[in-house]
Amino acid sequence: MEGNILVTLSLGILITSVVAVELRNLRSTTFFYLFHSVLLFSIITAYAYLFKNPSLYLWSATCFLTKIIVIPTLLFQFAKRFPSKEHRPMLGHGISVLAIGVLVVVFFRLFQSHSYLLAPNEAARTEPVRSLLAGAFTIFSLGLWALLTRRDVVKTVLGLALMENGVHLVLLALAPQLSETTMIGILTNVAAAVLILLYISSNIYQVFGTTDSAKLSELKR
Amino acid sequence: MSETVSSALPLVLVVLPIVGAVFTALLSLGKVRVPRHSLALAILVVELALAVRLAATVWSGHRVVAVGEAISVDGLSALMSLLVAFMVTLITIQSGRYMAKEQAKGAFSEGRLALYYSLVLLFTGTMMWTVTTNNMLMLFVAMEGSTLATALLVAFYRSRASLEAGYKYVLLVVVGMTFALFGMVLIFAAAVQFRPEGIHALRLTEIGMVAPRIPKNIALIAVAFMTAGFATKAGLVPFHAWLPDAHSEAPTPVSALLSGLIIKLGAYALSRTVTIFAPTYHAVIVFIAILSSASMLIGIFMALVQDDLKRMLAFSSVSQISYVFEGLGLGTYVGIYGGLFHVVNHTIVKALLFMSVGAVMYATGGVRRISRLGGLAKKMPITAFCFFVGALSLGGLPPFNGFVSKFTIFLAIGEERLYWAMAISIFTGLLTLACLVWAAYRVFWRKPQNVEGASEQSEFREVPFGMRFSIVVLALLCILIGVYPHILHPALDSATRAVLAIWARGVATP
Repeated sequence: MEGNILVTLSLGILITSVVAVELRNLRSTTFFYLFHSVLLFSIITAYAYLFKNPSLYLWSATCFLTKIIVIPTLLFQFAKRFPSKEHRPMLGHGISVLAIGVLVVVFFRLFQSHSYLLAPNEAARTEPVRSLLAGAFTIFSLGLWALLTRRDVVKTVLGLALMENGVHLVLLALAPQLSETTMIGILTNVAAAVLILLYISSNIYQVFGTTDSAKLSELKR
Repeated sequence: MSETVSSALPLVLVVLPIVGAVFTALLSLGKVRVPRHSLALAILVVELALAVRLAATVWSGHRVVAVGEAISVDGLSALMSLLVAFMVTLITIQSGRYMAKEQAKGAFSEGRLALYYSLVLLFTGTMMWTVTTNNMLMLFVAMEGSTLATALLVAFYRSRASLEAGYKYVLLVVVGMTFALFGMVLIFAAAVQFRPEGIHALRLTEIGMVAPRIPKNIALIAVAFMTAGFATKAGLVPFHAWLPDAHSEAPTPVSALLSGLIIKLGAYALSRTVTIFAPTYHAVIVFIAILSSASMLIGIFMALVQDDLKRMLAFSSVSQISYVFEGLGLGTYVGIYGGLFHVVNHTIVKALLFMSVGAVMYATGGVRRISRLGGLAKKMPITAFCFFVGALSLGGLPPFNGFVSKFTIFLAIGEERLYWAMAISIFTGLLTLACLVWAAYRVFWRKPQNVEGASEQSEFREVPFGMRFSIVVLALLCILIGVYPHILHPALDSATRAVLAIWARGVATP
């Protein structure tokens, strides 16, 4: 039962990841980034409840603050001042969908049939952990794919977030009961968030010459 | 096993510059007119004194810990912290005149000048944290902290080009460090089976003990991911895309910090994590040898075609840090010794070269295109001499320090019978020598190319003492270490044994 909840949520986060990467409308991408983050928040909360690790609630709170409030706010500010259509990806839409499909199939088959190759411990070879791991590895790869094939700032931030979230999901799947897992999650979340915010701010500054919100409003298209 | 002593000294080493950074920034906000340069320099001199004291304790046979075992200073930490403190102090000494002139030119406001020194102190604090922490997670967080400080310094001018260089740096390093984090998470999950108290599975000194028992596939995947991540931080090909832009768009003292110190963090992290697997898996050695060989060759080829002095030196750093990775990746005493020796030597030489370029730019009003420079030796004999010492040293000629560490690395590679890698290393060394000597000739001794240049020449003069001091000290150090390399032996031996000690106990405890 616990496994079903986690697998369902993980499937949801995987689907929203794919949609977010492929959407051509950058404002919709930002919305799906937010939705993706809500699902991540839900997954961390579910782990906290199911594995009786209350420290994980701290991580979900941090996730809420950084991924659901701060970063989306700045991304929305950025996205609404730029054309909503994405730069044409280096590869066509069809190729991208095909590549993502291959990624999904490869990782799930790999974990179903050859989990011993990628399992750090015994628990990782059994359900539901191996399905969770397959999803996590796929999300990580999806983030890297987005970074390699997309140029827009919104898509780049999405790629970074997917890679980070992929690692975090691996961590949760492998060691959900440890307080050190929470420590790793919170600190790496904050560190990555600071640098992502710096990345977005630098882009805004380069284009507009300021990050002052009031002045940004004056520049609204 | 060395005796362990508990002390607050390492913690002060980390906290002092960070507190100084906050204090300096607050002064700036409060519009208080205090000489920031002097304040920053005072803090850094204290920092250097503390680092010397700490190193002396370590080299007398102790391991110093603080905050439980969260901070652990062994031979390697002592070497790195001393290097950081020394180099930041020298670079800050040169910064004073250089940045004051930039401000006078209108490149930035007085308020931002205060921010500059605040960021240098923040940089110092995060560097110290990185090289003293005994926790794999904190290693990651501290490295990210240094990325933050460095990115703000790279983008300091806030020109379009520097902002682009800054966020490109952030983007690529965050991607790289996420790979490294993935590797760390896999190791943590595997190690926790043998160290039920989770905190121990994050301790670098504990992980080494269980490294041979981590499943092979997981170990190799983790090694590949961490190597890719730390190679990005260090700027190895193909992860180097941030490096030439960051170096060329940053203020020149920051370029010296980048090549001198920041790329060494990648090497440091590698020596703490990846090297613990080298004795168990020969594949690790070959993987890093291939990566390093390709990187050093491509780096120097790209350096040869640059007309911009700073970009040339930046690509040279891509090449030189590859020597370090090659040495460390071997996982042997001689390899690690040579790699760490080159960490020290390259730090000294590259800071010397970049600060010499800073002096040239100061004297010429910012010119750094080799094709627009020439005949500066008559006007700037001291800078010319120091740059030439750096060029010969980096090129690996005796009696300079670069020769000793490179030769050690050649021997170490030969010991592992990787003769192809040895050949590439030697060939790269020759190209490095050619590249830098040719650049030195064109900048300092060749006649100026045009009449316009000739008339400009009469305005050039040697830079003030405050700027010359740092490069003269470094040039003398190149010669001193080259002639008497054994003066560094206690430090390097202690550092090498510290790296080996992490996994030696693992082998002893199957």
